[in-house]
Amino acid sequence: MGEAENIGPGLSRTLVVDLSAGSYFTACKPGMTGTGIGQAPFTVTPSSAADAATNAPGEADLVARIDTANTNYASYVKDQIGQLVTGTAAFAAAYTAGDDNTARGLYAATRAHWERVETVAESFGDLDPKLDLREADLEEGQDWTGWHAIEKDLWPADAEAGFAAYPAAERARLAGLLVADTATLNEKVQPLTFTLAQQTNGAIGLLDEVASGKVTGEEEVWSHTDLWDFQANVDGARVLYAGVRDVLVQKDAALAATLDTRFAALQTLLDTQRVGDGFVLYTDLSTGTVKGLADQVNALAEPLGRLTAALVL
Amino acid sequence: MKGGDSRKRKNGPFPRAEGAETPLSREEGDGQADAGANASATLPAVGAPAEAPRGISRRGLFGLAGAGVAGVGLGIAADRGVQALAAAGAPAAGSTVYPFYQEHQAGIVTPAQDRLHFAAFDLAPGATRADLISLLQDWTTAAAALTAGHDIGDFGAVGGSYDAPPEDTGEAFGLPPAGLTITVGFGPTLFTTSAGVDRFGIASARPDALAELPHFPGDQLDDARSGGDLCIQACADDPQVAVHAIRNLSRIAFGRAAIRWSQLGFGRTSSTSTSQATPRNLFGFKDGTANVKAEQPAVVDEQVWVGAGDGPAWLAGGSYLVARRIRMTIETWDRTALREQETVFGRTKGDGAPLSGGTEFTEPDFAATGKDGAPLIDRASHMRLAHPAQNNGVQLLRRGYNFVDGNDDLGRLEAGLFFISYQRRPSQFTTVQLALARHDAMNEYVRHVGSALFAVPPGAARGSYLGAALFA
Repeated sequence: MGEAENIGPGLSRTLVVDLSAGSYFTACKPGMTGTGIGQAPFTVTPSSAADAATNAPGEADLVARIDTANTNYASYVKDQIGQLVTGTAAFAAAYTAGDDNTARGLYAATRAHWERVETVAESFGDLDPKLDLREADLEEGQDWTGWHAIEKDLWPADAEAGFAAYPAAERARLAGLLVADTATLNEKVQPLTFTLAQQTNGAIGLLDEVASGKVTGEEEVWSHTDLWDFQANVDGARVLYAGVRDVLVQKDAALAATLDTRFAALQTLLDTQRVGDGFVLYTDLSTGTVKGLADQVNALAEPLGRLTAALVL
Repeated sequence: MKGGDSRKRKNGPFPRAEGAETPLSREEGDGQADAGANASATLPAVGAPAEAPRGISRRGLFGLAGAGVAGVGLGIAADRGVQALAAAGAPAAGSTVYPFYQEHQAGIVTPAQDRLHFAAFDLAPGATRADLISLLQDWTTAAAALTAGHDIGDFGAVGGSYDAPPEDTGEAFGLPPAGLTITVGFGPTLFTTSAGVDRFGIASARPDALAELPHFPGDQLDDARSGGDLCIQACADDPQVAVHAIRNLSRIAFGRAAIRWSQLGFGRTSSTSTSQATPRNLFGFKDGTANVKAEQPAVVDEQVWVGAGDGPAWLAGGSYLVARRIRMTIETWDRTALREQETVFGRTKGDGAPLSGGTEFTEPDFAATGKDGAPLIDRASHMRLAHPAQNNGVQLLRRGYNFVDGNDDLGRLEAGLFFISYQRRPSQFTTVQLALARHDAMNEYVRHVGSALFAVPPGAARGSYLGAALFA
């Protein structure tokens, strides 16, 4: 029915389980073996008619829905990374060839595929810094590669005095690494499967990314295309949420209604900043506009933080 | 929607079990979310602070009925105060509790606590009347719990699901109530936006007096530090407790309202009770000697509380709150001669006695003159201009705090007085401030950079919520 693990001596931890009416018992299994000690029986009765009705669809139905959500999300990740591979090849070719205008045009749109599945892409500890490290995150002496190293070269206007454009060999090296590391990422995501908690925490994590890096303008300090990333993070979170929404409606309809409303409100607000296929540059946003976006991110992220607990019991 | 949880979660896996309230906390909130009913409960009179008993959990025992609890401990959100209160001997420092459900909101005539966190909020662009009401209900529930020294929510800071963010942020865990009061006010823009929109169907209930304050000579107001649809004043004797309150109340508001500006105050500059010594402001002078005091009920009724016939019935028993962020150019002040400093104030720097003679609480004699015939208390002195005798008897209940928000770009301390006053009518403040703005010798050393006016509704009855009468 449920368990709480890794409880050290003297610690307490709450275990929340969703149970149908019936007789149960609790027990502690030190070392996770044996029949357990300190068995304590208890009885569950329906807390209300409404709760009984809500739980009516039954475990089997929920398990099937969760299975479907897992499968669908794995497909989504593979699709996005596949598009990232294609887009990165075109971007790298333009950059290496010195076609800066084309490279700049492809930059934000290609990165959107990364940002949509950022929590998955980041889960490979060695690849994330190679592909997505910002200059401010560098350690002393660390080789700076990936999207943002190239971003600075393409948008040098805000660079420090004395910044020199990368020579052709450096461009070729960075572009080659970008393509190779993205190919490695593509291999790594192929066998992935996702638990329900990984999906819900992924959605929460994507909104955290928006709140900590995108709405502050810290992600794209040279290109100022933060709103592209913002939109992509929200896209990814919404896909994850949509995958589990049916289950959530059964478990916590009020939370589902709130999340529906807040996702829609955030998208409406983001849409006001669209220009053509893209968005207003971050540096052109007024303080008031940024605060409005930040408020709406908080409005969504706060209830979204409860998604895992509401679903994973 | 955090506060909304507590209502919803009543049917959750851990039904709440009431009990274990001590007699002294009986009138306090305990997080029960029964707001919404338009209660006509009998209100307790404004009471003296209650010293919480030692060693007794004031948090209701709950979670015991939770069936899913394995042999892994119980889901009891901890009683913040237990550690502090368990100390032997006299009542632990910080154990003062002010009842939340009262005739008037606490935090006005309550003896001024040492620390402040004040926040102004704007309602979200799409917020509805239902959102506003639910926010006030959730704030009321949370404020009742916080002021009683409890965590917010059903499970508090550490008792909830391991897979969910804790309901309470936790930085006040283990701290005593610290005399926390939470006072909520309504700004003019809550009723009618600057564009004239009545967002919540309450424009007709706006008191005529709840309008933008006039521009005073010398005002250099920053819009980002002024105004606001709602405000919360959190005062406590522990800064962490005050900040915890604002942090959790603003978290509850996400999606319905967001902070517009906020201000920390590290030391009180006024006494609101004769039991308190007069503190000093950052000019180094005693401030608030002639303040309205809680022990003067007739003066409080005359000067502070909105009367039944003053305006809309929903505000009767409430008050008006004026907040002014007053920046002090203290570096300039500090190189001013003591004679000049005392002349500016009209009092001695040491004892705070009026320059006409006597001790701190001697009534000033504005007619007294020196050898050259000049008044001993200068005509431009702050004390003379602010004194009731010079303002047709008008008094303000001042409740301000010193602040230092780091430094400015020139390396000067970003310091001053966060002035707060409560009064029956905003015109009381306007009268005094106009006299000061025109003539006060202190103006050379101060800049008013933030300003706000709020109508503070009366206290909530248990079972109801702050401002309920406005929506009746």
